[in-house]
Amino acid sequence: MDRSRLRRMTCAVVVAACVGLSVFGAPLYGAPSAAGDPFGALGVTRMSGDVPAVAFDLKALDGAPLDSQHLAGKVVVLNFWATWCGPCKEEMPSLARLQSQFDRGQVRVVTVTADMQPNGIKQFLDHLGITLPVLFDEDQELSRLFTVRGLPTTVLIGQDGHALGRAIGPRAWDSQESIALVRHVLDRQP
Amino acid sequence: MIKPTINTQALYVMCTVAVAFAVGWPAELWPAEAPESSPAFGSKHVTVHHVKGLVGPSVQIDDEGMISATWVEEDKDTRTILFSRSKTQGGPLGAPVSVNQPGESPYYRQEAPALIVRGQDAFVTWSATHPKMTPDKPFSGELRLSRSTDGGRSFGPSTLVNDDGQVIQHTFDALNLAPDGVLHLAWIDGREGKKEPGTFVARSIDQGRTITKNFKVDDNTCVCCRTSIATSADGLVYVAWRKIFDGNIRETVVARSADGGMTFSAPVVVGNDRWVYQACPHRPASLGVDRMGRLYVAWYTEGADETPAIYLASSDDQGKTFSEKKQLNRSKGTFPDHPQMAVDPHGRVIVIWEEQSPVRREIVMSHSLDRGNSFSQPRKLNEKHGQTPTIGVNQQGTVVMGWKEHAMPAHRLVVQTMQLPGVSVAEAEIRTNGP
Repeated sequence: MDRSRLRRMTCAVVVAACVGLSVFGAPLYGAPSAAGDPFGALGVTRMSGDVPAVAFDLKALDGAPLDSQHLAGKVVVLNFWATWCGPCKEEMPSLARLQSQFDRGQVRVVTVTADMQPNGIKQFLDHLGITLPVLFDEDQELSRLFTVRGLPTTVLIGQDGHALGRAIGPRAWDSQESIALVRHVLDRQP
Repeated sequence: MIKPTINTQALYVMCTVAVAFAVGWPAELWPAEAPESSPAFGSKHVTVHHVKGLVGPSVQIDDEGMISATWVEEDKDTRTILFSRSKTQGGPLGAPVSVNQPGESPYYRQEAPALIVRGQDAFVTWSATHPKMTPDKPFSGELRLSRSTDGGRSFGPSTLVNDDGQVIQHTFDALNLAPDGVLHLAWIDGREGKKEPGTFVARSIDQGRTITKNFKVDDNTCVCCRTSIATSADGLVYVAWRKIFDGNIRETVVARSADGGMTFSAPVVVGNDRWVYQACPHRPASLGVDRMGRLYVAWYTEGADETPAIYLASSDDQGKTFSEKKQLNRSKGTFPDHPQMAVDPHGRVIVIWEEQSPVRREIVMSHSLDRGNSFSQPRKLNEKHGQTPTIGVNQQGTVVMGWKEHAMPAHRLVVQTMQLPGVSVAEAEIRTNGP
């Protein structure tokens, strides 16, 4: 088995474990979080948090690569979206407002798209005054490894690099529930 | 680039699971078929594309067995809609030609152009960057129809399909040429400014030179699941899409027209899946009709239990009611995705789809010789990571299948033909049960 194949397999299984796919045929997204906890309050499905999330190195809107190593030690809100996805565009300002509530040294909101529309995306973000990073997942490999099967999908990654929660569909990311959830993750002991 | 981050103990456990997938899966998925029911596969024809991005293909096969394909390429910020046709039966594809004219700027998207080939006519619909796009409406596009009258050797200037003039998206289109020569188009359109867009249709009765007035078939269309159109020998027109019902329930629905596409019925729910989903699934349904008028629908849903599955249902009463749905995917170790279907006049049904696991991205196909009553074991087609499968069939039951493979640093388009076995089973059922 060559190294690249081993790497792909290993990488993929890491993500599979992260998103609870070890038993196929079970509900795809895992059990919903209980009401009353910070995950449940925002309708975010808890993930096991046992296995590190997949690492990545993708080109950003400004042309520079963004390596996930630069996000190490931070809480990461990883949002998958597309330009043709209305709910994705609607929730984008709230993601920007969520980012504004936190020090970028502690919390980073990062968006990922498979759309190759850099000019349109730049215009869209400029028009809304949004400065969130946009990463291009050209072949949807990162999306596939995170088992992104609908948009928007947002994965919450803890400071230890473990995926902790997943939201499918739009959320009010600037809501009290969302801010409380990020604070909860930030205060979590790795 | 994706990089693994993992400790040694976890690596051991995960590799064990991965090897189990890699070794144990194929034998379960693809047992040998009985020779008498086995289709005859043609050679795979691969073209390699050293471009930044590629979307597609869409494929067709004519009654002489010539293959046609269309796709989108992007390189150095230039996007081109390309068309290619084989010069021999079953391929390979010939040199590609540009569908869009200089000055026509395709809008890159996640769907291949729609394609219909009939004789020397080739029709392609695609999305153009809206000429009045402004910074506050950056993702706007027009739906364009291009036509070739010389077998795809050249294409003329495109015709605008949407008649609203609004700077919005007009996309997720479908195209079908009815037996009477009328070209039918469907797409998703938010011109009314509602929270959810609608499903719109139009026709061309002059081989694509002009487009009729657009009209809405229905509201509350799922914004990103492509439409599908089929026409029948008895003049019916069917349109399928995914509709959003109260509670964010997503159902595949079909509306029919008995007057050549001038009016449509209210949509009918096909599978009653009860799939509650508040995001964009981005997975279309696929339609086909046999010469006896049976309507077939293949679609993806996660149902009420959030389990991904591909289903087929049929209707023998012109889409008023549908049969019990039949699940086509059988693997326990993968997720099915993106089904596409072709139906020949004899009621032979071929469905192609993706099977995804953390370590695989396969293209598989399954066929039915008895009008959808039973299906063959899914059979793997691809060699590299495969995606976006597409399919077409001609009157003789010769199938063309196409898909994209990603093989860094290039993209590969693969086309392959398949001759379906005889029609005795399908014909016998028709004689017994009637059309």
